[in-house]
Amino acid sequence: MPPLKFIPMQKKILFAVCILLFSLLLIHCNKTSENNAFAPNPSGQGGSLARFTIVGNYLYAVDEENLSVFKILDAANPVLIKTTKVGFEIETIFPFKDKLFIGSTSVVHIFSIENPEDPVKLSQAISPNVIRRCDPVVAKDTVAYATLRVNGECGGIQSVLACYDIKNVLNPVQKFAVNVGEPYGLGYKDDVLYVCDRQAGLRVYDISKAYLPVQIKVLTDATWYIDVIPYNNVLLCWTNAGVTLYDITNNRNPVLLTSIQ
Amino acid sequence: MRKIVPFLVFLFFIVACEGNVDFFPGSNQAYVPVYAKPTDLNNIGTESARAVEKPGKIYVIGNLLLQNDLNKGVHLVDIIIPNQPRKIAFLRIPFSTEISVKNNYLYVNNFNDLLVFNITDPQNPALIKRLANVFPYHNSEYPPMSGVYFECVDKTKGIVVDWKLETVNEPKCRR
Repeated sequence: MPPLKFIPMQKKILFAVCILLFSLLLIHCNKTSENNAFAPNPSGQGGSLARFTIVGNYLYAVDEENLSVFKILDAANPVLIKTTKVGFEIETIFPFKDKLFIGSTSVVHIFSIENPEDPVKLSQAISPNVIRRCDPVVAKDTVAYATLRVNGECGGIQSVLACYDIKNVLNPVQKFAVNVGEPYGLGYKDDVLYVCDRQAGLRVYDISKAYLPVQIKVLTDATWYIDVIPYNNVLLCWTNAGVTLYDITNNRNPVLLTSIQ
Repeated sequence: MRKIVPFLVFLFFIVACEGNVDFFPGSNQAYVPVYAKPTDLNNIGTESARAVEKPGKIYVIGNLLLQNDLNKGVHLVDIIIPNQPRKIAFLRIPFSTEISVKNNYLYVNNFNDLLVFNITDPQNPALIKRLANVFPYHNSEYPPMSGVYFECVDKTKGIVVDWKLETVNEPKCRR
């Protein structure tokens, strides 16, 4: 590289600007990660049984039949943009890339939010042999995991944990199902899936083979488990005790920390 | 024999129409709605931290954990030290079941309304906005069970917030 005084003026200016921008970027990144035990996310995280979810500048809410879209670009001033009919007995909502997975007692409805103000139905995944189920669902890469429960309002014959191939979201295909007693919410950290089996406990599955979950263990520290949020190295569980927390630094081996009532 | 046959036919139709229920459904186990007055909707405020009564949905953002207390409000908990969570406050919100947060703004349902709280200071959440009647309250027409009797909802008595299994004389509704 030639000595500085021989470099044309334009190049010097360009070089200086690049250094300045890079420095600003470093400062910004440092600022957002200081004073936080957990990674920053302007919208945090909810569980798989949620009826509210935030994607970017929009809050999506489902009631029994409809999906409502609120613009929260100005977070202090939500504005209702649209209400769209989804189906019947809607239970849950889960955001995944530019899609929304909406669980009901019978099917999982998949919506595109490519235009975030105008959700468009793409398809629905119907589990074979299902009459009525309850479907909290989470998605990871090209796989969706759902718990299908038969008690109470959900009907059906056998509760299961089901895996769907969603490489083509217009045609989700069930690849696998394993019987579970009374499954509710679920969540994953990397290659481990946590499934709440109400009073049986919290089931921990290895999902390194995505379509073949293998149970590693069942945790029974709480009397019942309903939902989980894997949050960096902590697993937050909605239990009878309020919230039960586990250390999941080793995600295959959750270590009980405490419960907060 | 001639008197018995019509009686048997009568019995047959009773059983066939009632399906797999008690032959004499006079008194039955049925779900009874628990009502609350709509005037309680605006009874919103911040209280000192207390134990959760009906643990509900959870949400986490930064070092703040939030848990809904079914139909009662939101507990705010500091989890900067995960093995020593510290309850900060309880935000009383009647008929609340859902939580979501963006930046320092907390969104919670209050029956059919959407509320926005500024939680920059989680010890003192401030209600800053209400969007009225934006979504219908969940589960207010029938109990969340199928194949059960229940006492029909009488909307003049208030909003249905819960269902209790009791012995009811001739329950009129079923699903």
